[in-house]
Amino acid sequence: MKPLRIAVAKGRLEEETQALLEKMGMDCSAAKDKGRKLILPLDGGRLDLVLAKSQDIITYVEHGVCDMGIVGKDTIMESAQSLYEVMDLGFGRCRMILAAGVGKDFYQGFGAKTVASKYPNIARGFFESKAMDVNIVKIEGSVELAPLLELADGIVDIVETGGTLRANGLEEKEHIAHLSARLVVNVAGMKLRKEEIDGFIHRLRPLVTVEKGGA
Amino acid sequence: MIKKDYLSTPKGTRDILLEECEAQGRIEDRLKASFQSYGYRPVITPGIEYLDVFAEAPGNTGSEHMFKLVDNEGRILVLRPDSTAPIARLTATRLKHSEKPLRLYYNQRIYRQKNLYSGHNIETSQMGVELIGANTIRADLEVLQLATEALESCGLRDYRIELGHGGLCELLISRLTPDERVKEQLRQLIQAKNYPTLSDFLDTMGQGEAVRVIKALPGLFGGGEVFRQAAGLFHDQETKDIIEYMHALFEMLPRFGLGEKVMLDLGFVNANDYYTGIIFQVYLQGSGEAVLVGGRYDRLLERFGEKLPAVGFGVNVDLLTKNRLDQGSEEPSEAPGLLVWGEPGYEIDGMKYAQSLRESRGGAVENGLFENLDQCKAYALSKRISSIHTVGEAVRIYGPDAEKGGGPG
Repeated sequence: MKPLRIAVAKGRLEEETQALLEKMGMDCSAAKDKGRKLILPLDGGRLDLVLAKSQDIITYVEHGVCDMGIVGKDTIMESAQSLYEVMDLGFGRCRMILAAGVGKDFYQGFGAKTVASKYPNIARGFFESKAMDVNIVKIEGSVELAPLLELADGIVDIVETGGTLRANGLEEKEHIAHLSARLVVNVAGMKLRKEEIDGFIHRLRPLVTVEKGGA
Repeated sequence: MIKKDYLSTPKGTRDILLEECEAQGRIEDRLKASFQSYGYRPVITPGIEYLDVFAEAPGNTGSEHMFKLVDNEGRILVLRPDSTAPIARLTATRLKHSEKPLRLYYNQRIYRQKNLYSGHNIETSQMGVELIGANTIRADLEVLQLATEALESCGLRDYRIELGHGGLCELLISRLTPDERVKEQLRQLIQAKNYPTLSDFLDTMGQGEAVRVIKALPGLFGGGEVFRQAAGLFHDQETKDIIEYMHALFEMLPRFGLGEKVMLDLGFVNANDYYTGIIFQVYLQGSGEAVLVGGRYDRLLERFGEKLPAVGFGVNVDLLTKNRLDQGSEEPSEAPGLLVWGEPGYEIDGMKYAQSLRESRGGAVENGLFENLDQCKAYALSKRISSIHTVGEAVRIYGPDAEKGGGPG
């Protein structure tokens, strides 16, 4: 039987995931001593951990080359089309917000606003739900720069503590969504390997509730 | 810079060549043979249709997913995004007075817009059947039996069928709220099997019967135990009838040898209210998409003026071909190629000799188009053609055929 494959975003989610897998009683030694490897056999070869960029996790899981993925809700909202989002893992918590210059009324006036974001689909969805016409500019790096350079009136971005916003004269104007790491599952895999995936979810679930309570 | 668009195919399309094309042809032949053996007859519908035909098209085909054109009277046309709606149209018009039930099959390409660079094609070869004018369990069983038989005729053994009901979820949601936006949110959450968010969302909607049932809906997923879970859940006649029907159908499937392969999902979400009864999808190991999608759509023909129930399915032929090739089960049939060359002055004799060989033996017989034998030999070597027959004063044979003393006397 092929091992189950789970894709995880490199970096912070990777560490949290590894801790979680260890709590499930899996042998994660391969992940600790990974070198430059991108596919790590865990749990005595029963689980393959695939390290990828978060947007790519959606692609790999939707195409079914990875059975499961652990990825932030922001990535799912921005680019997921068809996969199962089965569990909130409780870690990697942050928020998607609309921010603009301190003291400025973002909604003032009738002129079309310009909004900068790394998440153009989320931004568009948010303003569509308000029936507002805005220009959305996709920015790849530090989005806070766009209003400072007067390219945009506001930004749609992720905040954890708000430190970067304050340091750059911005403040939260509106809350858009709560974000955290989610377990996603390929639609076909959920049918073809139901027992294994269900088994994984059942082992994971009690651990996640504890994490949530502690947070 | 000048873009050389004439050197490539549009994004999301591709050329299908040689071995792959041959493999696809064989798969189409097998599916066609299965369909015909059940009495299904072929139809071809236009590649372009009026947009209005697809007002409630199945699957993920909102009009934003269709390719549009405008005709010279300003009417909107679309490249066919699906074959079921056009067949419903032709059944309700040209086949209006034909004897029912009607059994039709199709083999044509469909076009749907996909996100750029998502790795999905916009053009798909699809073959399928529509059984129109019957709404009994016999009709549902026939289509399920034919679906699996058609796939098995292509050598598939390792597959799973997901079986659900298109009406159940929609019925429950519409009892909960009339608000389309809330409905859509609920559909998305159930579809994504997003239990935690669904549960939180439903908690804001009171504690009614429908809330309780919808919370349980995504979990009604698996084997026969689903009916035990569902037993205490549904109390009104309408939903109980659906569950009983599904149970009866499910109990019969093991007799087709499908017991292990069928998986129930009563939480199946019918995104655009198209399917009214059973729905089923077939998944293959190693592929993220369903290779076959089907179901009952008893209200579609009404739109075209004929109140007829119908059930059918479509096979994604591209995906099936890819799977068969990947599994190595579509080895090219080893046709022992043969080259016939008429010496200068004997061109017609050579061609007539080749024709007599084509009639007497299988495999391809090529005409040698070169002016000398050495060129023929070099060509045959590069094409792995083992035998060359030359026609002149006498017939000479080179290669394995020579030992056999082959060829007509």
